[in-house]
Amino acid sequence: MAGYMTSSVVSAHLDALASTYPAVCTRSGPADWAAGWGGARSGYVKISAATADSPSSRWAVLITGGVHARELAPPDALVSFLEKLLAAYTSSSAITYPAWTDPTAGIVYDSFTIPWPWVKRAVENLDLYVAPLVNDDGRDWVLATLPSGASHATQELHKMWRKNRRAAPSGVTSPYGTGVDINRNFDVVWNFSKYYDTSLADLDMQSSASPVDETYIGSAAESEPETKNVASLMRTKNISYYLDVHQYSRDVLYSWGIETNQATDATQNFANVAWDGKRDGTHHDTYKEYIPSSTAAAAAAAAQHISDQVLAKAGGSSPAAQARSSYKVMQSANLYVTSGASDDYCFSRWFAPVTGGAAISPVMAFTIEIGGDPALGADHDEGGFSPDYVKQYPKLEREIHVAAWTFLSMAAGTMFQPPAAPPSPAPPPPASSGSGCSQVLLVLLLMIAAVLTALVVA
Amino acid sequence: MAIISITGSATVLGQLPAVGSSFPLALARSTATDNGDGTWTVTGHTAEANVPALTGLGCTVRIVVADADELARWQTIDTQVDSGPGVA
Repeated sequence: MAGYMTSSVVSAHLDALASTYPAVCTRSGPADWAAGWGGARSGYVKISAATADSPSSRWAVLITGGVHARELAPPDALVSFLEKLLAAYTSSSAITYPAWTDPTAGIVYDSFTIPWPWVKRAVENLDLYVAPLVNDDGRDWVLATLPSGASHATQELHKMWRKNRRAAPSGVTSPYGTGVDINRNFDVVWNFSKYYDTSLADLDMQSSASPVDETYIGSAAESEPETKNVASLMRTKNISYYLDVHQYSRDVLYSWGIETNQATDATQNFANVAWDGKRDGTHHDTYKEYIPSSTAAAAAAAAQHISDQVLAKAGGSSPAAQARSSYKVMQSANLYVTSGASDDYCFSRWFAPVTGGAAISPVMAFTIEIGGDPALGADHDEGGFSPDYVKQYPKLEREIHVAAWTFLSMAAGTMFQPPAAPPSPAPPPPASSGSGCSQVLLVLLLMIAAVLTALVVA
Repeated sequence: MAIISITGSATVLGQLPAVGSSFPLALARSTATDNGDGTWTVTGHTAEANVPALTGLGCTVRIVVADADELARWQTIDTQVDSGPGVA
């Protein structure tokens, strides 16, 4: 029997990939990726090959996992995804995932195949960056071997840890005062009390300025090395497609998470200080976040495609299996309002590029919440944050792989669009602006990619 | 630590993160569901002993997986981890 990987094991696997496949896989170094406060660092790999078939320009794509320490499945699954991807590319072969039978429920999940063109395009058409474990210290805290006889309270403290392991602020003695929620520490409406009307009782803001809360935003945007690592990668590599893998609730989420979307009033945007203190969350309609309708449609369509592919491939043909492989598609804010999240930060860069004012390529950012919610019944109970590695994890691994494959196939199948003027949210763009044209083009390209994907599958 | 289902108004549920400062409460925020009747439901993790504090806030709490069962599940995971890394 085996179990989840600690940060050093993840790191060793990534080292092995870079040494086994040096022509296509390169490893991050200390200058690219800082260690956490506890000293752990697994970093990332870049996968890319230039061949005669490669386009002259290519999308930079990032997949992350393990941002929240207690969400155990994504890092392992992203490591195994990389191993399958590189082995298949080297042998110029498709990947066949064998059927898997849930040993508890007896449900059979069919075999499925990732076609060779998906593998080839992912490596030759993209600059792919994968950081399977962003929060190394937190992961090691969760998986730490505790002294024999450790109290339940101690076990729970470790098992349910979400944040990183920054030392608690001075004067905070609770063990829960340690750490910052990395996914509330990115520089997009980070200081939520400035941006929102926090007097609203039903703001439903799932961020906190209190260090003992598990959604603590930290002392400053990007105050945490883990946040800086990811944000710097987005900026320096000009990431245009981003997928963050979390756990759990079987959702595929697209931007925005900071507010309800709207496409009519471009002055209502995260950068407009005139709205500071007046943003009102999803239970009120005075303020909603601007997103061009074509961009929202493209993001929703792409998220739906990921969900469809997880159902079709990982779910297989059995109705019982499909019932457990259905992922809802929704805008992030429909769950609750978040500030400082990585997906919104990545997406926000298109609207307010922070690369010295230079225009950047269009951005699409998604979060997938892998695995079911145990509260919804037996069909959804996959161990919550900590699935059994033998009885539950293999199914989730398949789903993460399919989501990643679909995400990459869409990105690789979409013609590269050079950096262009982003859809400036303020002042309102004219109805027939050039940026609007680029958004329509993006929708069309995504639709073409989806059709091509379907044809390849067929 | 039990898995629980917490139902209440957005106002009440909005207070939950602060509850964590007085006792451990881990919310699976992505499970938040609008019930369409002015209440929301979210799945959380806390000890059964803390349930009265939650109901005292005005929440309805249903225990999905009891303390003992969840602890046993975790100990299985713990044993798997201690047995070595996965073959991923």
